[in-house]
Amino acid sequence: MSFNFLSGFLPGNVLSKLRGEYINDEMREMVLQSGMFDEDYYFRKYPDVKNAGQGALQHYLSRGWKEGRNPSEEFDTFYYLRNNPDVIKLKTNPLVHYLLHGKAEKRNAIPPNPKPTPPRPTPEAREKQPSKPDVIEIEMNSIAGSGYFDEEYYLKEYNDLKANELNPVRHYCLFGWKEKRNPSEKFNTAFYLEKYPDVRKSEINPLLHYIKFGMAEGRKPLPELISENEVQNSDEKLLATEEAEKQDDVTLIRESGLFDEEYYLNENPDVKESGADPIEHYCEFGWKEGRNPSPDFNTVFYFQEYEDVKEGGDNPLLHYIKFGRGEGRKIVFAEIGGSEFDDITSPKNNQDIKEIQLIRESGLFDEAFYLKTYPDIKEAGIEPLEHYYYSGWIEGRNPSKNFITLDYLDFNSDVKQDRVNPLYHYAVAGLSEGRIARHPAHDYYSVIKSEFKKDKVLYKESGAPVDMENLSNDIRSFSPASKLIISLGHDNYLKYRGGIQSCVMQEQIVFNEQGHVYLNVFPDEVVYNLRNNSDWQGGLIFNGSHTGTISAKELFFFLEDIVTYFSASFLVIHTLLGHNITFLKELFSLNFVKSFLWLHDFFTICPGYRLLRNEVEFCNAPSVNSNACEICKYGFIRKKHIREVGNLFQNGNIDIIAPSEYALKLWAKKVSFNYNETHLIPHKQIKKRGKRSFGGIDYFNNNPLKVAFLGFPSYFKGWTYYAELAESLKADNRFRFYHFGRASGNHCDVITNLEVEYRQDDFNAMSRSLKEKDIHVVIMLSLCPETYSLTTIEAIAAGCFILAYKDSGNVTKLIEQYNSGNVFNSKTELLELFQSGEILVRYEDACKNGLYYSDIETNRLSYKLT
Amino acid sequence: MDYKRICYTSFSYSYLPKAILLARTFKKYNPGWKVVAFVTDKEPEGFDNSLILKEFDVVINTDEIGIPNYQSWLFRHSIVEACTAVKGHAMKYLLDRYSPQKIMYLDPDIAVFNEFSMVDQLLDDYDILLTPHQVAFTDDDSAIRDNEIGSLKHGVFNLGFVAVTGRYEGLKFANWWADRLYDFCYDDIPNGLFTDQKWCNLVPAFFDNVKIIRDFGHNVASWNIYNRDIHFLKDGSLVVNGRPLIFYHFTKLGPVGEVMTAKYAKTNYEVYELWAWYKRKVKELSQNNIPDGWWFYNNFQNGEKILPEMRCLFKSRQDLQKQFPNPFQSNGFLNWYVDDVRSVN
Repeated sequence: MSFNFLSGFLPGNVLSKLRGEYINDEMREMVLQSGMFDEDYYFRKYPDVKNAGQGALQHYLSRGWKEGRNPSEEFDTFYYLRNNPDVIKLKTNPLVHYLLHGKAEKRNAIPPNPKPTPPRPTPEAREKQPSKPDVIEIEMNSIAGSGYFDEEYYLKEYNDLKANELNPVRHYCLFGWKEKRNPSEKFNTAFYLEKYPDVRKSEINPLLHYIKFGMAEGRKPLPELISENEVQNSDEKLLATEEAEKQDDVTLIRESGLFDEEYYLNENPDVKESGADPIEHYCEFGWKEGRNPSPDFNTVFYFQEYEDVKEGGDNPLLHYIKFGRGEGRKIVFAEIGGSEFDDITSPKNNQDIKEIQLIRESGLFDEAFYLKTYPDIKEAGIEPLEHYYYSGWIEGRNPSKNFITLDYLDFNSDVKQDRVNPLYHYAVAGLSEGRIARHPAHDYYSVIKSEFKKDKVLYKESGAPVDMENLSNDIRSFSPASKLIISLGHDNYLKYRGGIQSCVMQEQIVFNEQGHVYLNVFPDEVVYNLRNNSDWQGGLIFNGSHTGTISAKELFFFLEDIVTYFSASFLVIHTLLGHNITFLKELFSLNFVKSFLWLHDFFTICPGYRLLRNEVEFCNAPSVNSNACEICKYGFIRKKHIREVGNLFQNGNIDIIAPSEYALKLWAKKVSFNYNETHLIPHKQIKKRGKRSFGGIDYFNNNPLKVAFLGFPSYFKGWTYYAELAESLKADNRFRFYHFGRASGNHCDVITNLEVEYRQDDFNAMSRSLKEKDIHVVIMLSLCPETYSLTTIEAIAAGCFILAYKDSGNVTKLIEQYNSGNVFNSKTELLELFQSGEILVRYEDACKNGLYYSDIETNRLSYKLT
Repeated sequence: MDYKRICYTSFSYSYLPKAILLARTFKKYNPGWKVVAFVTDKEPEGFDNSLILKEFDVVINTDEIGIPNYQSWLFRHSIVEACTAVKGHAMKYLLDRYSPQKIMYLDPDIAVFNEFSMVDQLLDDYDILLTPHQVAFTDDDSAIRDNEIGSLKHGVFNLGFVAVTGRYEGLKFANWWADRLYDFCYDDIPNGLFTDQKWCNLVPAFFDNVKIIRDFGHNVASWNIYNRDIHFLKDGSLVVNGRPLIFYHFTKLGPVGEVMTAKYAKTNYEVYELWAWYKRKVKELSQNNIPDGWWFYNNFQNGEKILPEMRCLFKSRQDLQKQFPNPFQSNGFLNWYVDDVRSVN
């Protein structure tokens, strides 16, 4: 269904990358909307950014904040960081932190009691105003007047700076201290940072720290000023601090869900035997010995791939968790990368040159494919074949669409074992030996072999503990006559975009508009299963504000209390995914006027909520004793899963809400749960505006039929089929193929990508884009049954003719309802439609019968039923 | 206890996870059959034997089934040869011990997906059932070389499966097979032998009441997948060319099996789903204390490894067999070998 959350079918590493991009988008949006970013101010204040031709917002979000620049007069980056060490630790953009959490937590954005903020000047007035000194200037002033900065010494000591026009103090503030340069003979930067890990950790200018705090605290600026006693005490303190830091690291790794303890112990019997804690072992020794923390993470690869990690001598997994993940850095599977710290990118030797040349001459390396598929290589200006030869294959990249590196390594253990470049091996031996370069069912094979781990934490939403008193007061500021809606989601809908999240948000807005209280509960760990862990924690979003994290027990007592405060409380379950069974049972026992369960997906029938057996084919939710469930990766827990869900339904007082008749019928046929009434509420509705004009069939004598695929180019949505279709018809001028959605994943030359910018409140963005490009036909190839298909609605609203695969669920119903397309039964039939030109005739017929442009309007969702 | 219908398998401890999976899947669909394990091995130190006992109705070590000169005989075989060579004696043993009406052998690397109803019914009318590697010919050159010529080399019938009755012809087969396997169960293709399997090329010639099962759902494997399509029906059941899948032979788990499967299953992704499941299950069941490549009879009693050339020499010299009735003892054949053979070389 279109409402499947994107993350469900992506491997962890891809997922984190996507999320990284997405958060960036959202960051931008949120910062812009907040009014706390002033582009004029930024450019005026930092002409270097303007001169470099960079976007102000992009610059601030990516680098500016790290350089201590301010986004506007209303936010002081360094002040915020200095006063909030937890934010420094998070390495997150301070303004984004402020907007997400700090503001609600009443943290200060600028120093308290500032001079009254004058009204925002007009652009003209701004030109005339003298600019306010920035943080670096404030630092400079403090340092320059401290007596601890000796300009002459600085320039003499560091010859390289003479050619630099930068003021020496400014240089020290911006770069010098980070390069461990000393500002004068009176202050030793390296010593200070080493001696005081709290300063080092906070990444504050050490001299500034000394002047402002260190001196008063009796800290020493030079090593020779430390007495023997102090050395000992300070060493002890240092040891204690280091131990605490180590423990922090271990906890961080433990909570990340990226460390597979069972795997680590099985792979390293010596550790198992020693009885050591696997994570502690990894932190202390394991990573240095090239051991891997999970089958998904290769320690050596990460360390060698990233210069900064290597230079910093950082624990690779820790670095990935803290920074790499958010930055979208690549990781590779344990079994692919190396296990020893040898330098794979060492200077070329003759053998390398010979092998590279041989691959080049074999014609097996497709340079154009490589550069298109891996834009990072193109951007970095690296010679593509050399990249593949030295590191691309280790990263699992493919040299052409016909050679799949991981397939080749899977099939040829000799190649894998010898760590020979697989393409080189194929060129000199594999090809003539008839070895397989690409699995004949590659797209299925890669999906099938990925394992389902029932307790794997896909991502974790950390939040500060909920301030219960505040929240309770805020909620009780509403009249008891208001309605209370407690809704269950699977993640933070303010942060992540997807079908369910969008519904929850829409619903919250509607309830809030009517003066009701909307409290959303989501699991802090996103796991594609029901949980039974005693340390389960929930995140809370109160009327659209994330209030933090809370334990199951506290949450239950809290909800029990507020449910009695309001005269009418309702429970709306959007999904049970990741929720705790014990908590749910308790929650269901509370006194709700009504409880609703939405059928956005089929999680109540199977933990594989898309009903795709092994994620490759619609399974129709057969008996748990069937062959299909026996061999499906979800089969082993399905029986228990259904029993646990069934127990929640015991009282029979839950109403079912389905977004489509299709979803309701399929669900009702498959469950024996005891439920109350059923309701049909489509997420969106269409309002016809005008008939699409048609230039007659002759139009296509001179113009191509424009065909599109909408949304994320994933396997489940049938992207593979679509790409195959476009490829088969690439020489046929009658057709042109498009993809509307994010470019990532579209590696097909013959499909033009067009990105669509979404906004939560703009439901018509996609259909507007389709109209603008005058798209005639949209192909819906979803392999899993859609409970509701927003993309189909968007295509209908754009007056497109839709071709839908027979098993695509509600899609077929929608095109029937709006008389907007046809159903096809197989790939062959679809290809035949195009090759024969039949599609043009069908399009013509559809136009004659009427294809309409429409507006998409949102529904009021659960509000209708309360 | 009712031992009218017995299914048995033969393995060494390194195959235990697979054998357990066979037992579990077999019992799930065929509760009316007893499942018996024949083990040609001794457990590694610290191994909990109750693990194996609870999976099978009976577990028998092949040193207890009356194979003459067991130690000397075993020494002449590699692990694969030994585990296949015991199949005939094991069948005889079960027929003697339990007098079953129907008895079936399944290789431990088989998994079962349905009831053996066809086998059960055929054994009412026939006495010996065999499944050929291929049941239809092909025009594909590569498949002819890999599969059809493969069958000419290794045997027409795959002896991952054989079923007989407790009637005269069944007993006759068991005796004949056990006899041949005692003397000639070697991987020696140039001399016309391939373990227990190639002998059965002679079965249709030597015995009456033989039925060759040509049903597509029996003994599906990489050597016949090229003309068998596996699919799921809407009710979740597995079919092969429209026939219910009874059992799949997951031969050569690892890259070799995967390559052959990919080569011939091509885009039939259901086959890869089966393999992925099998690998997952075997991995899950491998959480015990059996070291990789374990076989007790790999070594002399003093722990020294037995080399293939030692087995070969011993096999070819009846005088040595007579002189060293238990060649595993370190003070016997090994001493002789070290003194006489190594010193010469």
